[in-house]
Amino acid sequence: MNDGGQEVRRDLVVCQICQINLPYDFYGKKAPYCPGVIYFDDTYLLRDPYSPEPRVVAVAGPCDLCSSIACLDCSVFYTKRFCGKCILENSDGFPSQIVVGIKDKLQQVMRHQAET
Amino acid sequence: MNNPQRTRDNPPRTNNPRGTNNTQRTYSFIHSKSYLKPSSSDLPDFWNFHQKFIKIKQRQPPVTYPIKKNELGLPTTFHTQHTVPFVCISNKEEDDKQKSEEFHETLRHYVQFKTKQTFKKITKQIEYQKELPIYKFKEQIISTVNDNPITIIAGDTGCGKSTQVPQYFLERGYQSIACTQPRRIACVSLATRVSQETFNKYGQDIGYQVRFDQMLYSNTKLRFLTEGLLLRQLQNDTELYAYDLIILDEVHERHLHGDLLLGILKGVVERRPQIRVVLMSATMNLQLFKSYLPDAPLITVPGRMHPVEMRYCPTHESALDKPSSAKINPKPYLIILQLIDKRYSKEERGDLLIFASGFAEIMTIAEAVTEYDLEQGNWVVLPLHSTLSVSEQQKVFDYPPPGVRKCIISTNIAETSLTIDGVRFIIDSGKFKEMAFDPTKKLQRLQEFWVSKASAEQRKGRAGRTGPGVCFRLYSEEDFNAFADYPTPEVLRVPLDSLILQLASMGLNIRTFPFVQEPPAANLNESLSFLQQQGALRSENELSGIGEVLARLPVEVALGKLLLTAAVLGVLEPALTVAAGLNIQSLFNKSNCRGEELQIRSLLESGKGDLATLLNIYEEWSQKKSEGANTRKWCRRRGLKEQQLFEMSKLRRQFRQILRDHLNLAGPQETLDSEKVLEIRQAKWRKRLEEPARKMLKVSHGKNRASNGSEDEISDTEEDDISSMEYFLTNPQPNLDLSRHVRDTLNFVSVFGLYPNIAISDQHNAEKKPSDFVFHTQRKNFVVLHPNCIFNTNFKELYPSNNRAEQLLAYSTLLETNKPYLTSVTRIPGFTTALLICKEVSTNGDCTDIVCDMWLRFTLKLSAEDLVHKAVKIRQKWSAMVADVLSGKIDDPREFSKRQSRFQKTLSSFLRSDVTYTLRVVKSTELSGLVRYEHAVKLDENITLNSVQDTGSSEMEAFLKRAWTCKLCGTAGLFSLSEKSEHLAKCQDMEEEEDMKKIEQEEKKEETAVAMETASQTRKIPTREYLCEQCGEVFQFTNVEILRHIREHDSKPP
Ligand SMILES: [Zn+2]
Ligand SMILES: [Zn+2]
Repeated sequence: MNDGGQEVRRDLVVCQICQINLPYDFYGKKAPYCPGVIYFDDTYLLRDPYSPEPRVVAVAGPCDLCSSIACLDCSVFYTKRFCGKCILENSDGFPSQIVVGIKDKLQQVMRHQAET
Repeated sequence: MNNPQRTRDNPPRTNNPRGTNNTQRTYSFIHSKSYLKPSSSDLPDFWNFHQKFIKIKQRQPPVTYPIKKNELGLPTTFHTQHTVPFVCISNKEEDDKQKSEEFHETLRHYVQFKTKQTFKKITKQIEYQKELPIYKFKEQIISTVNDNPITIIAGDTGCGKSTQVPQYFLERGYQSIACTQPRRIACVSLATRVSQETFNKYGQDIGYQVRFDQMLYSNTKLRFLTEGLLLRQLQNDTELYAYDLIILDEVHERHLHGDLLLGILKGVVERRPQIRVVLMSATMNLQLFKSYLPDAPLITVPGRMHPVEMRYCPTHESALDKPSSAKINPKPYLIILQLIDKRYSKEERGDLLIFASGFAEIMTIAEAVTEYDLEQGNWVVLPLHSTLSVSEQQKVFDYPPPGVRKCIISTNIAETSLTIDGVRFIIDSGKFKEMAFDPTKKLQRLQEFWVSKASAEQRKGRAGRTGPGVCFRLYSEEDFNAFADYPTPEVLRVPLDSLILQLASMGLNIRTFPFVQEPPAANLNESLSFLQQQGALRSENELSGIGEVLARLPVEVALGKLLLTAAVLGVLEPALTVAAGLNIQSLFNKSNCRGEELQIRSLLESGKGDLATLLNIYEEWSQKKSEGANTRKWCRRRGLKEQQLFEMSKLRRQFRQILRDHLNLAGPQETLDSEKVLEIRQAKWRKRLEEPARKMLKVSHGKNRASNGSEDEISDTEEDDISSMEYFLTNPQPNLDLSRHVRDTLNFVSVFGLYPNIAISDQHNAEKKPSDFVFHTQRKNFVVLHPNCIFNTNFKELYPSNNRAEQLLAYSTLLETNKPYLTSVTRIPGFTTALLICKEVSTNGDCTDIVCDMWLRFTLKLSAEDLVHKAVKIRQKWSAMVADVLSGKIDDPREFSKRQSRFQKTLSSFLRSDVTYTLRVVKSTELSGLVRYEHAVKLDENITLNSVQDTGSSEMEAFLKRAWTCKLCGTAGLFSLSEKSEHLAKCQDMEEEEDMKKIEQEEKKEETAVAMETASQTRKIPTREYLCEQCGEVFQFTNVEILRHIREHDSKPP
């Protein structure tokens, strides 16, 4: 509305693991309407639709190992972003907290995909 | 990989996690340029998080440096710090590095936490949309629409078509989509819903446009608008180039505007094949649309409905037989409430929705249920009908506290237009009330009907939206089987006047228009001849100059005529109020009005009638507003609905704008500060988006009426403040001191606008009690005054003792409920008015017997020849002024306004002419041969002498020369009728020239008086001492000046 000023272009990004279509308005390290938050790597960013303040949230990003795009649910950030598949394939290299968390989520996704 | 950011790999410059004595105020990181600002709405949320985070952090050991890494380059020891993918930075460098690091560390985790929370909400929303039945058809819908100019999507309640289909196309890159809705309220709520669902709440892609209100940006891609508004846009953009996709929603409801759009779009598609049209409908009566559009593909989407158990509970009184004035018996409703209370545990949720036929029935049932609840204490009663304000209507969406059920008592408004979740029980009275139009009597009749099968099923379905439900029908299965299949569409039952005008203005012929269903020929012919009589149509397809303006005014023909004439005769400002008042629902609070209120209100009544009273109320209210008084209280003490007054002020502005756009008129300077208004709208819109969709209903036990006065007032005040603000910015100062000739002109204009809605008193009224008074209209005899009419109490004004001339009564509608009622009545001197407004004025030879429009008959003792001739002159001047305004020939607005003021004076003194006569209705037995034109002398298009065949022979009169003395110049001699007319016309011209000189002198006097007035005006508007907190100065300001001053501060940064 009054903040930002520039028109924000909407687009959709698809998570290559769970196939969800997510809206985003910037791909990069920061969004112009929220310069106070700077991501370490290029990320799909969206203006927080539930906050009246100009806040930014991440919805997805590329995996550091396989480069596939993964949504926030299907990936974990641990100094870099990793997709669930890569984490499970390299589970020895990750702390157990991270492996356990993503395993459940990924099994859920697989089951869902098998159904449809 | 080569990221120099310090937080990822490098240790913080100071490494001391303690020092927790930080209170909020020590954080200078929160400033006007930081992520969190002192004004940020999420600041409290942050501090809340901060408190908890500090505790968790103390339990976790700090990161140890250097960080050990494994073969993947990842830290071997897990730490939450490594899971945050960003840094938060501040523009200000802090002196205390440690505090700064600590604060930003917390902020990072806060932002991370919020991001995850938001992401969860987003995915939940997306999942919800995927589960809607229509989602499976998404690709099919998109590809079908791509390949076909017109597509029909049929789906029942709960399939999600209204919210989803527009977003599908928005997502596919359509740049300009219009989605029409039959109702205003749906436009706003759909725009809100779709903004939220597309995560576009703070974007500009989605907007709405309704009569008083719009929220659009230059880059809005999808707008929800009413059917009526799209029709208006078609007048200027006949091929709808403004849009690439038009979605007509709820076409099955078959509103007049919707039907009209269908026919027009059918033509647009042929001429502009690249445009796309989607019709969305319930699954009822699909065959009709299929045969209307045989080439359009049809996609049928199943609804989502839980089973609804059906119970027929006939009430044994066939209610349609009894007189409609009788109150309904609420007993059957209470029996079902008892049954629900007995059979279903209070812990099981589920609300009740009752479909009653009309307002009175709703109130009767509401009263009974409220009483029943005094013992039970587990019901909250919510009436729902169209006269409630939007915020009052919104209450039915709120949820009750546990153990309490909502009992919503509604008209058929809840059948399709409002969808209320959580309803488990339905009681269907099987009836509804509707205005039925009788074209031959020009009468609106509020009638009770049985619903159609389709409506009954729709009502039943409302119980199965969120879970299985029960529907109680207060009629038998045999009754149901006898119902009509579908409701009667509007095109078959409403007046067609504005439809014809709109079609004609688009150059379309009503006789060849491709209607979904043809309107009845009788209605059509009636409207066509009415419009020709009103001068709006030259022929069936050709608009007159007046007609062109009328076609663009979004009001009925009568109101349009009123406004146009008022603009021509220079009384537009007060006429805007009258027209606005005629276009809103009643100002008077029916339910909450006792004797005391009525008494205070009666001080505002005008002896001239309901319209002048309306004007008095509005002016007085505006005056109070500009004085800064508490107008809410002022209204309450008089039993008035302030919301309706605000509505009037918006309508006035809209009408003024339209007239300004279509006529070449100078008016008061537009005071509209459009930027400020836009800001107000944005504030409103944002507020709406902020609001939780549903709130908890406030319930006080034993008295569970949610619509209890005092509570409403608090919740509505903010809305009121916005309305007040808008009011001040868009309305000129009220003008309370209208001169007599302005008031007379206004009254005349109102009557002329309403003509031929004219009634006269029955000859025997004088001998009767006021409550037994009857009146006659041209097409219906023995009608009575509406209970709201001020002449019920001020009946003396109709029959003044000082032998005032017989009056005509103009009315806005003839409304039949239990009796035929005249509504919004205005009185005006009968004879002189009839000479000026009637289409056909005929006199006998010596102007003592005058017949107007073949139904009014005036009999005089003295000849009215000079008045008749004067009437011709006044009509001439008047039509010359109309022609000049319509052709835009007014070069000098000052000169024209002088002309207007002169005309007003002439008109006023003419209307007030001292003339004695009797007035009666022409009997049907007298009619034949009463008016014949063979020997008539035609004075103008409307007025003829010697055409009434009374006792004398008109043939003789035509040739006979009689002795006559001219009252004006004293000339005496033998004159034939036509010689007399010629002489009178000349003499009156001369007399007028004399008068002119006098008037000019008066005008000069007035001008100096006005100049003095303006000089002293600043003292007249009350001022008060005002201390501005921002600049610290004390002013002596009027309220408007205070607002202006505040605005100046707002626009300039401090
Ligand atoms: Zn995913
Ligand atoms: Zn990967």
